[in-house]
Amino acid sequence: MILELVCPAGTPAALRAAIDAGADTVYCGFRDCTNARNYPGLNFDTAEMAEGVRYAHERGRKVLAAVNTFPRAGDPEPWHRAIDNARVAGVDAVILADIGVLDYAQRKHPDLRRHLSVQASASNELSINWFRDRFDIKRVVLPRVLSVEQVAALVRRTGLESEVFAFGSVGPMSEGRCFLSSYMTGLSPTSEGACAPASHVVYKEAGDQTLSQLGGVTLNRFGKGEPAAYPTPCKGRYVTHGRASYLFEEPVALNAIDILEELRDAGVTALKIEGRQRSRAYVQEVVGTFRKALDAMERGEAAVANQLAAVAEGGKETHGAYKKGWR
Amino acid sequence: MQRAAAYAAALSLIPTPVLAPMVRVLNRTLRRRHPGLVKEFGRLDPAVVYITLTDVPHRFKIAYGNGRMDVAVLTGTDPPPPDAAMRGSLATMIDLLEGRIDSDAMFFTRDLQVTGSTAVSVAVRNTLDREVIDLRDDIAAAFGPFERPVRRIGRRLDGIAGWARRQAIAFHRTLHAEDAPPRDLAAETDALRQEVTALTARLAKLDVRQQKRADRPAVGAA
Repeated sequence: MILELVCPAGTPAALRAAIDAGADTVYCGFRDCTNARNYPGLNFDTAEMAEGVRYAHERGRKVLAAVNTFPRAGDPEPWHRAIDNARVAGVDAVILADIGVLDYAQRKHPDLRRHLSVQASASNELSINWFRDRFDIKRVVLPRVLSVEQVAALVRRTGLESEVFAFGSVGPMSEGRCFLSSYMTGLSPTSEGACAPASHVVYKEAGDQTLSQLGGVTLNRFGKGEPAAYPTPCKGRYVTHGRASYLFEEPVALNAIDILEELRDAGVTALKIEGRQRSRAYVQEVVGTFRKALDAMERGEAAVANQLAAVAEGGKETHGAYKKGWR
Repeated sequence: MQRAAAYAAALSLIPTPVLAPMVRVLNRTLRRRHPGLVKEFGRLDPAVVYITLTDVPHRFKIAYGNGRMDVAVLTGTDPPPPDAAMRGSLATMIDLLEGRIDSDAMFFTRDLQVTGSTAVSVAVRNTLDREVIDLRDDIAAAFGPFERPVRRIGRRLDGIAGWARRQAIAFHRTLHAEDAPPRDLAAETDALRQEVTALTARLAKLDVRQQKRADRPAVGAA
């Protein structure tokens, strides 16, 4: 089985870059809180998404629309509109997390393919099978908390297509359930679509150091030449017992490029590259590298050299839970 | 990188009063050649961003919002502070503008520093990334009917810049050849001699081992 390469696009230019670099499928979102990368200047309006779909389909590729945040109480309209607009744009599937949004999509557009977003945090067969049986989802995006063996077990027991993360950020392993940043910003990361809203992030120069702050709380300070991290609470450096350290997560990127065969043998359908908030240069580099690696694997050739450290958060990489011993 | 170095050298020679009208022409060209970029900047909340280049004695500003986008050279009378400020080398800024590098990666390695409103910086970064820009094309287009000769001159200057860089490196090496530490030929000879002796001994051991293996009767032989 050939692994499908699913790649991020924050802008129409990034979508074209991903397709040209070898993406089989591109995922993107609308310009509002209905997707989990709601940043200023990012994302697509309906016309842009339709144009992206046309560009992809002409080249035999697919486009997915992420509508993967959770509606605010009493205000489902933006989420309903996003589903309807995804349909108008002609996307190949929608990526959904909230059961109300899944229900709306199934009832209103039953023939629009539905994927279960990682934001739904479905990480066992009981949960996944419920979404499968209730909402007829065709694919599940698995959270970054599972070992390769667990992924294989879920693929066997659910009978669904599975999509796993191959490159990108590593969070605190509670996808779709993390509210850390809401304590500092007053905004829900799962409803507003950003766990570090740019409006609440400040960088300050302090002597020869840079401070990163979220909602007035200092999360980190970097010296000259020291790699920086995203200004999220999970990547903050906190002082305990007189020592500053990364208590939750080190600034490090997930990179599964050298375990592609294991993931394929586990029965995985698709590999997801994270990073809709990153530039098209990032998209070109990461997608191009994974395309070469997948093609080399299919031809039975030696693995492609991993040269992605330059675009990795903190300049460091990890296999994350795929190889972790803790459970 | 080479092109940026040539630009940096050229920009450094131009006084601000001369550069300002040139940038105004470039601004008009950008608006004409990239209407999508103007539209995208125009739909953002109004803001002003200062751009400080670490290797050029000029600063620039981008002002946008309310349907407009303007790039200008900063003068001493421009009032601080802006909504946001970016700081990096000219090469970093050109690569960023032309979409060749990832600004997050630049931020992780601190090659790009951002202060002030992050929402404004992120909006500028994302909006620029939506548009495919080739600064050399835009600069050439700013010369109107002289676009083609300017392109030829640009290509020639690139060639000259490359040639000059190679000559400078060679000249630098020549200048500092005398400063290079003298080779200790005696020490090098000693080291090589030791290496040959060690390799000879290792070879002899391998010969002995191979001989023993050849003399041993094969397993199961009668």
